[in-house]
Amino acid sequence: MDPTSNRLLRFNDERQSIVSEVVDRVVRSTIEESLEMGKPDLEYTLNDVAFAEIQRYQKQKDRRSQKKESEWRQFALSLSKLDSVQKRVELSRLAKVYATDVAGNFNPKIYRLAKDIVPSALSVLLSPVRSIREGVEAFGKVAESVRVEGAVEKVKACAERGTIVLTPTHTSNLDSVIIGLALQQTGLPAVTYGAGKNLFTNPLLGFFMQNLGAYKVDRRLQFGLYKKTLKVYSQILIERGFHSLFFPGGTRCRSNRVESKLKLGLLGSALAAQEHQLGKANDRPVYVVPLTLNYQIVLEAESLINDHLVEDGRSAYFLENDEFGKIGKVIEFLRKTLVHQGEAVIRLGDPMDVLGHTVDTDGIGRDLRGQAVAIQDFFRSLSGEIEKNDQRNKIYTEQTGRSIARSFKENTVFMSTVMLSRAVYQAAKDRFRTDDIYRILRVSTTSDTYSFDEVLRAMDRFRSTVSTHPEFGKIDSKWDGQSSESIALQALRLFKEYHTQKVCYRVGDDLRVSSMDLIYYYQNRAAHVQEKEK
Amino acid sequence: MALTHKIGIVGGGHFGLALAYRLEQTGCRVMVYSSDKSLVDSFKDHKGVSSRHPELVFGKDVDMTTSPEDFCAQSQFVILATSSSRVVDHIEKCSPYLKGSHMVCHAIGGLAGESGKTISKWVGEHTAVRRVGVLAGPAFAGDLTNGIVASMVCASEFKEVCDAARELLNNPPALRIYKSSDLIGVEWASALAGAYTVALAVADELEVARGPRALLMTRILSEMSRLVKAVGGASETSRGLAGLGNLLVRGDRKEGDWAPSYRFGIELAKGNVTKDSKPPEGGRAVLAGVELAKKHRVPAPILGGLKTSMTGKRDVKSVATSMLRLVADTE
Repeated sequence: MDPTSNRLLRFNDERQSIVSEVVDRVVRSTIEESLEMGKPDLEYTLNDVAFAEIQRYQKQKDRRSQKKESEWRQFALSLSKLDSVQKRVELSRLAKVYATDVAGNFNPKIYRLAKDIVPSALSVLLSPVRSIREGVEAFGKVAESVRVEGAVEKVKACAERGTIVLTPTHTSNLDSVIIGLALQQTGLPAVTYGAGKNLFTNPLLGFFMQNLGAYKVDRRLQFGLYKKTLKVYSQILIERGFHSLFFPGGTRCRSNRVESKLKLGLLGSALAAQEHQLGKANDRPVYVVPLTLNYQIVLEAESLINDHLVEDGRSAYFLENDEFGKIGKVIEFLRKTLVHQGEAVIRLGDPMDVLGHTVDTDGIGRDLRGQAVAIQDFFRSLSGEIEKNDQRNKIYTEQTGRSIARSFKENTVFMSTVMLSRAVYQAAKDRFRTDDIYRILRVSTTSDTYSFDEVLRAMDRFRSTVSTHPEFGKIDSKWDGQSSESIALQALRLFKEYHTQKVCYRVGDDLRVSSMDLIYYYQNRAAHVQEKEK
Repeated sequence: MALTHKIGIVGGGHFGLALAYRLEQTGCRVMVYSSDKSLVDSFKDHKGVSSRHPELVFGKDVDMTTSPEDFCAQSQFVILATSSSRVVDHIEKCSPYLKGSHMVCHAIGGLAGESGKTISKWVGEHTAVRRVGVLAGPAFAGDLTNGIVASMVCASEFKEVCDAARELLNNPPALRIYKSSDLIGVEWASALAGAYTVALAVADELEVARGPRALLMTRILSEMSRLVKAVGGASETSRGLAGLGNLLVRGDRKEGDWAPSYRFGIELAKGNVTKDSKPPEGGRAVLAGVELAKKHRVPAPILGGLKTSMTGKRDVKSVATSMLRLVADTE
């Protein structure tokens, strides 16, 4: 790869200056905000940090945490004695601590990260290097078996012309790694992204994430200063031309529906990065690239759908002890994926500008009627000057979020398992005359049978609906010209291999469902597809 | 301050010109677009006096043009002040010249043509403009001309659009501008006020007594609130200038100055409306409101009843009787 286009390689040289720019801007904007709030002495902000840190360390019982807790208590007590200059110094010091923590993970030396972060000797013993190496190989092969389709050439052109921000759907903790590897194999540049600190505890994933440019996001830190640091950090990376990735869905989608409620914070960073560059010499346009990651089988499907169904999952950022945490399970999954062609499809949507206009081959945004737009116009005030306006940007960001959600649907690729599940679920809905999943789960039994023929007819109907409604998505192109029966048979084979339950299996001319939860999970990918009544 | 900004007004009708007149008094420079060449020519020939509204004498800060290109190039803040049926065509003509830097507000109390869509949505889909807003409220052309107390609300998701409208248009007591962020609520409340004007006209023509008329009015308000809320607006918006405010002026039986929607209601009550009649703004809003109610599954017996008599399914008297009963039952 051309080293100039892979900006990540430059990262280590720029790290120091990035961190100090982050600190600079965080401090400046914090001071401005506290002035606006009428609390110019920063005590409120610093107290907020201290309070959150004390809370965090209180929960942990080890000696280091106890020491940290008492340090923070000291800090909180000392605040009232500081004058305003000293408070600024403290703010700057803390901003630097957090900015360094976020950026600091970046290290080109292999394994160092895994060694640093694996929390105890025990987990090192449990994940011997042999399995890491195996995992590395398995991952490489999986990435080869991932098909990348859609607007590949357009995205490449945008990456050369400007800075791209990938916004994928989020299904599995494997997403970022698989996307990173697959994109590199397609000749697209490496991207940087924020990954939850907890993900780094899996040495295998940690290895990849580090090498693919992940920076560290500590989700336990929920106070203003840390969140601002993260936001500014991601914005500055984009401004400096580091291609980036973030998941607008926030966390892995529990239900497996195509995401429609998006978190807009980091999208706001992309917009701010674009705004910041307007009118400057050698500005690089920022392009948003929605993409979908479509798995045949999802590693964490069972935990995710459970979490969704008990409905307390939305607040939890990650599940303890899910399949992803166990390295053996990950490798097993990857191996099976290889053997059974359970490939995934990454589909790139058309790149857009930060306002959600689809861009043409020259990187110029087009409005809904296809007329070219000049991005800077949207940032002009009544006087015609480019003028910063946060409230305006917030609305623009919401609009771009809607464009991404639309693109997610259009670019959803329906895999065999999804199509079979959809058809079976339709049959179950008809059988029990309800749309309510909880009711279906209550009344259905593992001895219920569904006519295979009937399921195939439902799949035929689904395929014909999708083929005439491009806004709903696309059928996996490998099934072009194939019968619904061959699709169903492949899905049944995959279901048999992966999950602890068979999900759904054939008995003579009928199908039996052993896990309606998983049928529901997989069918949800197609939940937005509306079919005409029979 | 205001002289540095150019306001564009689309539409050389009574309201558009009265607004231009008021804005010039406020100290703004105004460009008026009209597709009517004879109107523009005579305006230029007569040095700023409109042949149709000779009472309006303009100074040098108001100009007119038939060229959408010139118009858009010279306006930063555009106000659509034309009828809901014509606006679609005007937007089409201006579309190539409207840019992301424009802010567009409309002062139209209806939906875009036959589309059933709000005008801000139509502007967003047919031009590059993102910063859209609505100006709504019971301000008549005559009030603006005479400088009688008039109030309008400017609603937009974009605070800067409301701020601009306030900065440019606010000139109390002649014209007072209030701000709101409830764009969709204000647009629908204003359009639905046209629809319910039809209902009030029907009641008046059938000589419904004051008591039942007041009952109808209160039921209209709650039905309108339901619809506004269903579409994503704030239900209290229907009680503001755009909803109740518009309804009170449009549904007022003042001799000779009937709003087209009111006139339509009278014809409806007389049995002169067939399913082939082309409904005016208010009539179209009735149909759009019924669709909206269906889509969001909220009851709308008043609009539903009007629709059945508009489409000739039932005669208006039986509709009116059953409507009042139904309304009383539903609430």
